[in-house]
Amino acid sequence: MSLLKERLGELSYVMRHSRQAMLGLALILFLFVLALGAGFLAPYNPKALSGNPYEPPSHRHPLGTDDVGHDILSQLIYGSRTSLLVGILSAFGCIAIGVIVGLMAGYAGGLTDELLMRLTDIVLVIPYIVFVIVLVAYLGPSIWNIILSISVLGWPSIARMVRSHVLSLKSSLYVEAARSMGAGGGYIMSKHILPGLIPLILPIYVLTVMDGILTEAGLSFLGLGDPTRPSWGILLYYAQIRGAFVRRLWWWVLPPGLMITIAGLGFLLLGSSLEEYFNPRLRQR
Amino acid sequence: MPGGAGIGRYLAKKTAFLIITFFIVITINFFLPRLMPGSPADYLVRDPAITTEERMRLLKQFGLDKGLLTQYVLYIKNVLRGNLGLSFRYYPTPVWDVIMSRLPWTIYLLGISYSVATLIGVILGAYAAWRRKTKFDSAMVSMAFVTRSMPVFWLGMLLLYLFGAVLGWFPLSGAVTPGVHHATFLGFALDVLRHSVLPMTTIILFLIGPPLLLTRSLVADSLTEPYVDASRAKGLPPRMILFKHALRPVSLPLSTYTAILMGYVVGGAVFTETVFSWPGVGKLIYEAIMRRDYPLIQGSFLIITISVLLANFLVDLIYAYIDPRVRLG
Repeated sequence: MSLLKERLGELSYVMRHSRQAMLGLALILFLFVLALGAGFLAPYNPKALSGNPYEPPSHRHPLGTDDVGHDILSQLIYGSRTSLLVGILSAFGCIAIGVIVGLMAGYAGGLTDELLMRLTDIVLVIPYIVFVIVLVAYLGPSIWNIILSISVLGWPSIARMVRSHVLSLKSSLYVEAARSMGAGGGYIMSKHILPGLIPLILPIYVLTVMDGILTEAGLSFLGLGDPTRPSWGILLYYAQIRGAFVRRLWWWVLPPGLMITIAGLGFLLLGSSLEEYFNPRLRQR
Repeated sequence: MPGGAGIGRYLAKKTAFLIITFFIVITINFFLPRLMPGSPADYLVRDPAITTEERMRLLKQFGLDKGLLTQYVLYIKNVLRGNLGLSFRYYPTPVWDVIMSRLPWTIYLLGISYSVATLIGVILGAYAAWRRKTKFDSAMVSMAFVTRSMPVFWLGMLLLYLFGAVLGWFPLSGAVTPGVHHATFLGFALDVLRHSVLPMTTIILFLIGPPLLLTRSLVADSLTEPYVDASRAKGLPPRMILFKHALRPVSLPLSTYTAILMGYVVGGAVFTETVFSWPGVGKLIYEAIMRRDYPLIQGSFLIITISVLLANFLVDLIYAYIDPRVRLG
């Protein structure tokens, strides 16, 4: 336990002294504040017709209204909930499947390994975004179908990394020592392999959240977003099809994309600084 | 020939993978409409645009009144013959013809943007590694990060808004000016070029980050190698050291990596084509989704996936040629 405490202390020290990690954390924190405080922060109910269609920014509507009269700022604030929910849950799904497949392949070896890795290769070679789009188009545009589709298709690269990490752990001296003292497979798995995976998985998780957020935004932009929930991608979808360009409504086009970029950047910055911390080869440079 | 067996086995393995994946993709395609409630006929032939006669013919052609196994066998037979059913939206044009008329536009757009993005990314990445911890280096890394977290369709919308709508430098949509008949090929080419600038810039910016970051870290590694020190000691000019010596060992991991990137590239095309109304296969998927044109959704998915499969196979072949470990077994 004291070792874990020491490692956590070191991690938090390194993170606190990395400008990149701090910026990422600040952006993520900002999103969580928006998502949790949406009820207080948003001036209107995002689904209410709180103004006239196509209102420019004003005191009543700081970012104007959309083509039917919804307040854009309120949709923007509530949109953070959808984004974070999809990002966090779909990343859990991807990691769960990736870890299970990678562990089984790496630990069992032989035919199991061969079959699982060929399956991974096949899913990997099918263009991810197009596959997700088609799957959601068939399953129907609900937030749960979006999370499910991302999870079912986003795991292969994780499985590969987990597998190669398991292989190197399996052949490491301390695992060999444990085995020579008669430790069983289950014991080695829970005491040595799984804890050894945490440094690998933590940064990948954070980066997968970013992928999930970008995928949700993309699906919504194509008209496959959950119509019952405000989402940044859906805002841009309507901006695109309802002529925000011709009318030059920058307040409808600019903010939603900026929010998606902030969310993506937050998780990307944090994830890659975690990766640098846990992968010392990169850290020296 | 030494090692001929090694390359033979390598090619056999890659070909087997190609064929197996091909059949799995067809199978996925077959089951997609069958995952949904109701009969697959609802998704494949039942559209008000399709005449009763035609519907009967399609039902028979795809065996939709028969058992699942018969349907599967017929589906594979039809796909192998290039019969992907009829599009609802472009009725009575077959899905195959609709897609083939769009495919060249996507190949043109992606081929150029992808090559340019990789080239610029590698050069900038190599310079960033050479000038580590300078302003140039951190500017490159920041650019790679921001373009990676930015949704590509929004990037396209911004360029379109600024250079299309506000400044009016470039056309707002399409690949050619509608209604204009060009007397010469040059006129046509110039028109297409003018329409390509914004979508290509979008995809290039979208794709530039990954090769840049990868080259930067690989070159930074190879710059510490003794042979780089040796060439420095010989008094070679920096550009020579960087591009002749430091970059060479990087080319192999880079080419594997760009192959992995293929799916990402295609994703970028779907969004960029949608924003710019570019008449390619990516925009076609969007149209098909809007119209719930299921045969067209399925057909586009199939053709896109097969194109990526073939492109990957091609990369494997090139790889076999350039990597001595594979070539010599």
